[in-house]
Amino acid sequence: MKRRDFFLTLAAPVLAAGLAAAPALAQDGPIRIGMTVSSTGTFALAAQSGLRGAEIWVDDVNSRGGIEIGGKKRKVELVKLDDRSDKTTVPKVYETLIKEEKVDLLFGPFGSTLTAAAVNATETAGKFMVIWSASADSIYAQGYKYVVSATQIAGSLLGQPGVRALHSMGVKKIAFAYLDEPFPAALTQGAVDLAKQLGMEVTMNEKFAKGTKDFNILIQKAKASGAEAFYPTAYEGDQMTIARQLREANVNFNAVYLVYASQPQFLQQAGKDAEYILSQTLLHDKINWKVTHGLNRAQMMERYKKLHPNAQYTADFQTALAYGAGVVTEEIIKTAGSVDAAKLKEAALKLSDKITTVTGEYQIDQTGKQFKNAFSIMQNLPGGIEVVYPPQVATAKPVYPVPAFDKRK
Amino acid sequence: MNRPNPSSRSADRERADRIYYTLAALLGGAVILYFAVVPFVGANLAFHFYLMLWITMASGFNVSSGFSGYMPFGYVAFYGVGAFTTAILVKKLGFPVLLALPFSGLAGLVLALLFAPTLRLSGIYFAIVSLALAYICRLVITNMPEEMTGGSFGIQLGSQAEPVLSFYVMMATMMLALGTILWLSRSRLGKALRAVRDDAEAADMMGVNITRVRLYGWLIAAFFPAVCGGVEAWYTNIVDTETAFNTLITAKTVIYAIAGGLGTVSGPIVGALVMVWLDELIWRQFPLLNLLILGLATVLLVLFLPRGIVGTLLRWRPAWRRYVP
Repeated sequence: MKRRDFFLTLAAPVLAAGLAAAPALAQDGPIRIGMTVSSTGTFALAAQSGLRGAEIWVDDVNSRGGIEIGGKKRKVELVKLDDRSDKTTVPKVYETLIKEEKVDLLFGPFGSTLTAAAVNATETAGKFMVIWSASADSIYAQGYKYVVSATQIAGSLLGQPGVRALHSMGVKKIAFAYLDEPFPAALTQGAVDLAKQLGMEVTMNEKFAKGTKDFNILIQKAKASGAEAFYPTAYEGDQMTIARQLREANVNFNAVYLVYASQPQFLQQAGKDAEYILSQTLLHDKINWKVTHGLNRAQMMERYKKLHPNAQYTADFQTALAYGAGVVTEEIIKTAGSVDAAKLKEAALKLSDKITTVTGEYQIDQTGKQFKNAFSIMQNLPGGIEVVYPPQVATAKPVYPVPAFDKRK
Repeated sequence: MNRPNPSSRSADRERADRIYYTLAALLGGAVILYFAVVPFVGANLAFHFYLMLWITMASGFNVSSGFSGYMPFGYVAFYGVGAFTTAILVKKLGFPVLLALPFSGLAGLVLALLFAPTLRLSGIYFAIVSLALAYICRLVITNMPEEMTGGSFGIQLGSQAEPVLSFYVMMATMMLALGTILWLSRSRLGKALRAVRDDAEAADMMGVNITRVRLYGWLIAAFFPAVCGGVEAWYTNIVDTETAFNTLITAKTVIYAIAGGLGTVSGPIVGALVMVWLDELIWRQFPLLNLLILGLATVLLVLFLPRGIVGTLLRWRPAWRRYVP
């Protein structure tokens, strides 16, 4: 072998690696967006529900000819790979999307843990990532440069719309209780902090153990504390028990707030016990934001039926979150006129407070953390569920104070 | 009757040892060379990181299962505790990551000492108790103050992420594990462990301190997954109870170790290499049915090669047992 050939042979893998690492030069081809979906595991249902939302957006944007960049319209292509809900699979999958599939930007996987593992890969490669389902505040406290939560509100703010709603109704004294598990605890902590900021008196803030079935002492204690509103947070089953025991003990508050009380299963199982209870949700027939970009709720639901006629489940709030994230992404790319990560982040910041999608208003800070897209507050009224807060989407005035149990029909 | 000449027997043993260590050096050299160049050729870093992690985990498990005869279904406990130790030391106490990692190993050793009384059990009873203890570890960490363990969202290590450096630290951990097991396979301790595994009473009669030998094996088996947990937390930048104590981690470790063959140094390496690559190929070719096909492939492997790849090979060629690490 000649010396030159020998060195060329040695250099070939390096050159190949260099070419592989170079950004895609196809300026006219589709904008490739990488995303992972869980085919199995804990997050499978939610991730697939989100994927269907992202697909609605891709279908919609492509039916309009694509996204305009530099005077030319480029279609969008969603590149999907399976992450199996497995944290140890996610880094490999995102690296594959970036290095081998050569995607231009990425959507996060479902959930905070998988998203945190994925961000590591996207930041290392200098790629822009749109988050649609990760609520952990810590993701936005790590100094990442190219992440934006397009629709998912931060975890610490999840429980706050309820407090704002109660405050606007005139509640001055509020009692909190929460299941001693991290998620209810985090949600309650954010709610307690806001209540204090708003000048409300927190008359009780107690935790209860997993497996608690008798909430009577807690209920009596909340009542004795002089609270006007009772805000116990746990999972759906416990909340049904609390609703039942409130009626059985005939303990009346001016308002009771149970986060899951507008879910179909809760309404079905709790029956009359669910009446007048306040709750929160993101997707409901009655929640109709005046969208500035993308399809509205009814149009999105219609498109869902058309595109996914055989889907096992109906569209849920994960579908809406991912669809809304797509809409925000479209505006970000359009504003940036590029798929360069730094330009996309700059555009994302520029668009803060200027977009309303099917899930609500979009507002981020420098870290990419989402402050709006808050859950709407519902109340189970005798005529059906109504949206009572925020005013932009409210369909009825809240009933406050609620009638005592013995005064209800 | 011809009696073998002691000097020729000794020469024969020396020759076998020479071949054994040459093969081990060649295998080790190939492994080092292969992984060392990964960051330079633009290959998928994460894939190779996890390949090394599974080789290390399966090798550690091999000490407990292949050498000592214990099947710890709660093996993930060491991994999870190691992951949280690194995360807490780095994020909450400001330790440099490289200093925190040995403490993860230490945490694994402490946990192994706490679990040591369970070594009195054997067979399925030990396996079940080990699984329960892993669950208890998870519950304890879940219920610790959120300020320390990060609650359901876990702990993020933030700007500490250094993929290439953590890749090489994983490589060093793997080489340390393989070196330790190579030493163990020919050491007095390794022989004592095998003797206790095969017949504890006979080993006791021969003067083997059963309790001590089992404990040493158990400690070695616990150290490496704990370090792996720490390095993985550093690599992915995130640790939470859901994923750090996921039983899938034990399941993968067991499958990879058994696929290669327990009781040899090379078995878990071959098992992890074959199974992880097989998994990768299936994942790429069959995006929707990948887990189903992988499950079928695992069933077929266990059915047709119940002793694992290396184990089956050694059964066909028993004479090679002296040479194959």
